[in-house]
Amino acid sequence: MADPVPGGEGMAPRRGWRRLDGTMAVALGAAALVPLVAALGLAAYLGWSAYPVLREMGLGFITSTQWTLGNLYAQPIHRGGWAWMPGAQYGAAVFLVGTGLTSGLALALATPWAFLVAAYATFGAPPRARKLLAAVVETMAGIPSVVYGLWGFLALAPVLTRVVAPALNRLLTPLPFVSGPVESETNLLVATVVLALMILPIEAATLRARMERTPRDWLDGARALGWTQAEVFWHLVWPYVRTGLAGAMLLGLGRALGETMAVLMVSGNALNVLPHDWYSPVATLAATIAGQLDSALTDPTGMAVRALGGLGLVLFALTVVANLAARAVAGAGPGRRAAW
Amino acid sequence: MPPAIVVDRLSVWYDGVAALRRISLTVPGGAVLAVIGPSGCGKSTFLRVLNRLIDRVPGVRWEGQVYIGEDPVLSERTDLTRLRQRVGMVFQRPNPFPFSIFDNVAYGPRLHGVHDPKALRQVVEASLKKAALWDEVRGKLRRPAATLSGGQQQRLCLARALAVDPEVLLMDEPTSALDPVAAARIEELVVELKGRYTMVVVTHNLQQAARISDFTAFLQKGELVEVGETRSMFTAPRDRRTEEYLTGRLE
Repeated sequence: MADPVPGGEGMAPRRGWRRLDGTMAVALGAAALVPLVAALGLAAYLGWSAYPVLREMGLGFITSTQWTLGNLYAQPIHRGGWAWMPGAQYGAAVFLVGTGLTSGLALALATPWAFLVAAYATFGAPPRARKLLAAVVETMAGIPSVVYGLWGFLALAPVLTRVVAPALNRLLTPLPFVSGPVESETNLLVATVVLALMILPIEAATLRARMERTPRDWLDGARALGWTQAEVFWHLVWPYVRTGLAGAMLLGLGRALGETMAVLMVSGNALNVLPHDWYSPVATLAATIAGQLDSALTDPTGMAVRALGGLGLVLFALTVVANLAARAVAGAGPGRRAAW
Repeated sequence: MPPAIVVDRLSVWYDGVAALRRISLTVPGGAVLAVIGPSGCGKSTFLRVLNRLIDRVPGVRWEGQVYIGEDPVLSERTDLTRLRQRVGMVFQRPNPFPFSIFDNVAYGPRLHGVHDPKALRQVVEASLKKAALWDEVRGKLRRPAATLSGGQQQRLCLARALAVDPEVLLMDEPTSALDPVAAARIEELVVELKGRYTMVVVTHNLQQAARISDFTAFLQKGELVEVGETRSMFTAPRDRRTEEYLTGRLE
């Protein structure tokens, strides 16, 4: 047998390090619990806060379009053990529809565009321009949304409503939804375009990262066989990226759902009216929470704030679902190389 | 008769740094040229000039000319798709596409306009036979190429190159990622295909070069030290540097 490790006793001081390992495990574990506790606490608080509103409104919270704080100068009345202002009604249908429309349309607009940007940045552009383009895209993703909102309100909204909307109207007039009177400079169209500009970089950066990971071996093999760039892209890159597309879209959707400031500034913040076409003012869940908080705080019964908590709860649930879906698709991602 | 390859005073620079300096040599049609030399000597660059895969390297510049048959390779007017159909390539690591075995071979002909299923099946079968893979994969053509062993994948890559009916085959250390048995099969194939294709094989394995090639070129630091018939170079190298490399005194 070989000699024992020389200087074995010299290792004794390491015992201190070992004890540290145990301490670290506890400390890190506790630190890692914080986000979980925060998320659960948030959901519980929103639920607790919204409870009387949800109980009183029932399904109407989702289906009703009427959102009024009631007569704030009257005496509170009592319903179900809670104080309400007379006439108060909390129906989130307008905001749900607004959130769905702005997010969905922005996604539809941004996704193909992001795909083209990513494809160009990965395969089309000259090598030196690629890096620049990638950097620009990633920087765009980091610009605070209020900046997009301000620019959208000041610069984009006038152009979209005075030039683009009439042009679209002339082109598409008999068609429903895409044609109609343009009454306000802040509307669904502007919100859609601003949101699309905001999610474009997220989607483009995600797709670009994925395209970059297309195995170099395949590309070399294809080029050595004389495939053109287009053939390489269509037959090798696209099938590889395809599974990542849903993930990129869900990331974009996550941002679109929760986007507050920019939408608040350009959407028109409609109350009590469902949008009837692309040029109608709309309101989203997130923007309404921010926009209505001030007036809700004037409700002496506190019920209006609780109702906003209800909007928060719905938004929370939507984003959780979007994120879980994104994870599910991302997990199913690149393993399927042989299936094609 | 496959075409000869004539390399005429070929120099290549990457961002101003010379990778190949004034290389001139000739490979007769149907012969096998082995390119040997220490790592970084320019072997792979040399190979990638022949099918212009080098085009995609940023900052690359070249001088001189290469002819395959009568046609210049390093010309503005060279049709790269046509060139790469004539000049097939097998890489160091087997790199089948993420398709079925059948599709790996059939894709090239399909892109070149062969769509008749019967004709495609014939091309696939003939190519797999030429690459000595047919007996192992018949009846399993719909399986993913990734299910094959490394050696089989490499032969599939060879079949894939053969399917578009090339005249020249380039091989970049085709056996260095394979076990000895799989490597021996590739070597056998090179010998078998000799005469039907003009071949250039880059290799680190000197015994392999001696076994499979008719001519050998020894590159060092981007310079062509010596080129000649393999038999005479391995028995009586003319240059002292070649002798040192062959006897292992230099790596």
